Amino acid sequence: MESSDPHPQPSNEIDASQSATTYAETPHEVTSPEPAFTSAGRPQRQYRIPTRYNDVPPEGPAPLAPAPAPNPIDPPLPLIRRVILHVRDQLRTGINRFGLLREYPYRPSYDPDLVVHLEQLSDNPTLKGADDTPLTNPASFAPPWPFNNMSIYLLMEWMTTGSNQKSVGEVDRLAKEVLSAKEFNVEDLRDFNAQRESKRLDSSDSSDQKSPLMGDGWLESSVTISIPTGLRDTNGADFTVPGLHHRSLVAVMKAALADITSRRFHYSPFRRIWKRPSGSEERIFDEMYTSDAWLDAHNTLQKQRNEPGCKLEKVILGLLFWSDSTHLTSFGTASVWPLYMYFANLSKYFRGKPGSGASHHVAYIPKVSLFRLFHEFVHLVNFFFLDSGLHSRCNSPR
Amino acid sequence: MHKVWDKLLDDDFVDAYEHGFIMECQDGISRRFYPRIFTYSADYPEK
Repeated sequence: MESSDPHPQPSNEIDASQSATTYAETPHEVTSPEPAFTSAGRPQRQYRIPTRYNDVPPEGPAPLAPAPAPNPIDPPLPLIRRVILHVRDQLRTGINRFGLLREYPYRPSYDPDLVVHLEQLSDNPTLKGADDTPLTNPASFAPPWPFNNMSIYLLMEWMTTGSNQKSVGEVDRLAKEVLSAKEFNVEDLRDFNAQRESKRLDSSDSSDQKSPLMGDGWLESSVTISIPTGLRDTNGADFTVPGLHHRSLVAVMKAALADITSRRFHYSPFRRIWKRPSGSEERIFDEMYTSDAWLDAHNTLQKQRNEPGCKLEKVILGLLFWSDSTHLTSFGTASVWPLYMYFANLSKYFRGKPGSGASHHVAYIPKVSLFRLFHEFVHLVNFFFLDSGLHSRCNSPR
Repeated sequence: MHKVWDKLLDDDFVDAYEHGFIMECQDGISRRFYPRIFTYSADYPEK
């Protein structure tokens, strides 16, 4: 933490909670115009809630100043032939009630904090607000898709939703929602085959679709690794592990950017600065896009030569990966090893919310069972012993 | 595990890393995106 004030005064050392109280309003304070007296004739005390119970409502960052009209650029001097000018349009926002401001090294083209409302900043259930932006995308294809008609659609929807066991409730649902639906027609089910329709549903997410929301389907492939055999002068033996399920990273990124959640993506990095009540400033590190690493990467990217004929804004898409084994059941040993991808452009307060849809699973790593590995190893060792002629020597005639 | 990453970081990704890819954002402006990996935390399968 650096302070921009070279000679910090002792009075600057106020901790955050104290300084917050100076901004806090005291709505619970009871003030009576005339002093009342108790039955004992003493002046009645004014009760007020301790300061630590004052709930300061959260507040987003102060808005950006409107962009100034671009100045007409003077024609460049003809003598200078190659000048690469990196325009840095540094910009500071105002200060919000907590003394926080943002300092952008480049003027941002989009401010995602404008679409953030008070009810999204706090988890207070009484604040249900005007703009309740849905976090998930609405269905991108209208119903009978991918099936041929509504009857099959309703029937398949019944099959894939709800409980997977025959029950009274499920049959009720079948009768009410499917068989007595207006769109349902028995004629449509003339040569219905549940297996074929399931396959149709599976293959609907193929990669040759036009929409960016499509085509992030799963691919299955195998990896070949080299296992040392313990023998000299060999490069190890190739061992193929099948069953790696993964998705194309670029397709996942495109789908995420087309999703409505990307409205909250920060495309321009900035420094967050806390202005103390005394006036000195301190850098705040809170998000990925306020970090030095991002600012450096953004700087380097702006200096990079543009793609030919492209004048679009160049922005960083920050990727965060994590992976760990996940048990699927409380009893038993079923487990998978997923690899998740998150976007650092999204604020951690949204990214960490359950149900925010910020996590994208990109791969399921196959695990090699110890038994299988041992089996293969024995097989390999046998193979190499045979190959090196040891076996023939052992079996050599006396 | 490295081979798994070899599969994931395919030619499409390397091309996007070097030259970016264009997407239209929710505000209607098209931008050229350059993916950069910031963090990677993993517990590897151990044998």
